[in-house]
Amino acid sequence: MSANERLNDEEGRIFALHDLEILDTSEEKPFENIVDLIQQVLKVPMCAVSLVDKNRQWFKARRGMDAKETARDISFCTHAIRKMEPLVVPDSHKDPRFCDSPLVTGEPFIRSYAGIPLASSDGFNLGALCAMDKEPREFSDADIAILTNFANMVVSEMELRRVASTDQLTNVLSRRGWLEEAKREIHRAIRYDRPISVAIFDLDRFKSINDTYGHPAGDKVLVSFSDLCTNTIRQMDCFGRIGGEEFALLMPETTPEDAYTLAERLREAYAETPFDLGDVVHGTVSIGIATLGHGATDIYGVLDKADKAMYAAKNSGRNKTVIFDDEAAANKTKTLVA
Amino acid sequence: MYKSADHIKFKLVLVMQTEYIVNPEDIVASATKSLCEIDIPPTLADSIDNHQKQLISLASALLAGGYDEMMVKQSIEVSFNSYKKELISTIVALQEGSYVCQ
Repeated sequence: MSANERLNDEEGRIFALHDLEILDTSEEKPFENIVDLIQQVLKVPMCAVSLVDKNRQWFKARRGMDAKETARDISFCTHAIRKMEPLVVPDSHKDPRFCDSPLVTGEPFIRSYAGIPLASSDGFNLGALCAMDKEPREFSDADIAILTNFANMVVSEMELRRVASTDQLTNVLSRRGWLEEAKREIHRAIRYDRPISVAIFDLDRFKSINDTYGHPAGDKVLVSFSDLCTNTIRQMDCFGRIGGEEFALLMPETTPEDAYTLAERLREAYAETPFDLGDVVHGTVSIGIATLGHGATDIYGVLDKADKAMYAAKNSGRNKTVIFDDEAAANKTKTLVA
Repeated sequence: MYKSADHIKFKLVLVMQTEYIVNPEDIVASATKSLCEIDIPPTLADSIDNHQKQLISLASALLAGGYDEMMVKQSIEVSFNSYKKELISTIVALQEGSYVCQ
């Protein structure tokens, strides 16, 4: 695909942006440092790392502006991402594209703007690094060169972030990436009082596969299990490798009973999958399921309960799915207190 | 005011040294020397290489824009330290994924 075709591939661009798993994440120091430096070096009152989503621009880092996001159609950055070159607006009052924008006529009163597209490694403009002033301003070639260099660094930081969020063997979310996504979904479930479930999968007797057939064979099993899960789960679900042979699946809008049905389907499909490791081998998996409530108020609490349920599955003979029994745990606590 | 030949010579040496120090590659090399203390996984080698080039390019752009040496050094150091922190965190995340089963 040529660079021009990519500029017009809005669907691909949005997919690439969402794939980064960066939207609506919390503040991160590298991006904060970059906007601080821009403010200091270019002496601008406002600057931002703006990511242009389907209907909004969302700021990963910002200075001099209160809003965390604005509508896309009034934004300067939606114009900046349409080209590979910088967008410079010396005086927004004289530019018919922007003179009526609420961002010009009202807070934050953008009078001049310089935006550098943030191009991903696969060539999509995900947003823009922008410097803005409340006065008309001619951004010099040197200003643009400096801003361009900072934009390249923003992209590097985003790429590095992606490496940390992806498990290099299976290509699913790493523990760090999964936890970030899971925290967001748990927060949403609590806020809107929606059901949510977490399943932990631990491959049974995995050590013996490594010991008998070697680590490449073990890797093959891990990749196959990941592929099986990613091909079976819904788009809204979030799957990741959170430990050696341990995986986690977060299922929004799902009760533990519905999660059980999906988990059982995965367990059965995995048990039926033959692996050619020299010998033909069948693996099994033990699964624990839990949800919010009964002491679990965040992702770590839910993971802890799912982990206990998974060990209950292991201890009762493996190759099983167990839902954490909140009632039994509550009764046990009551007995201990009494 | 009278200036001795030695004084002029001293100033000249100082200017030459200053020009040498203000080389963008040297500023970046000085700011990033702690990189050699980190055991870099091959997956991240390209990222680090790119970042080094970006730092040199930023230092050049700042110097060309007339910013003083202290400001350039400070900007490069802040940029690098911030990247280094994220780099270490990424290396830790990668190590969590590359394990030996017990």
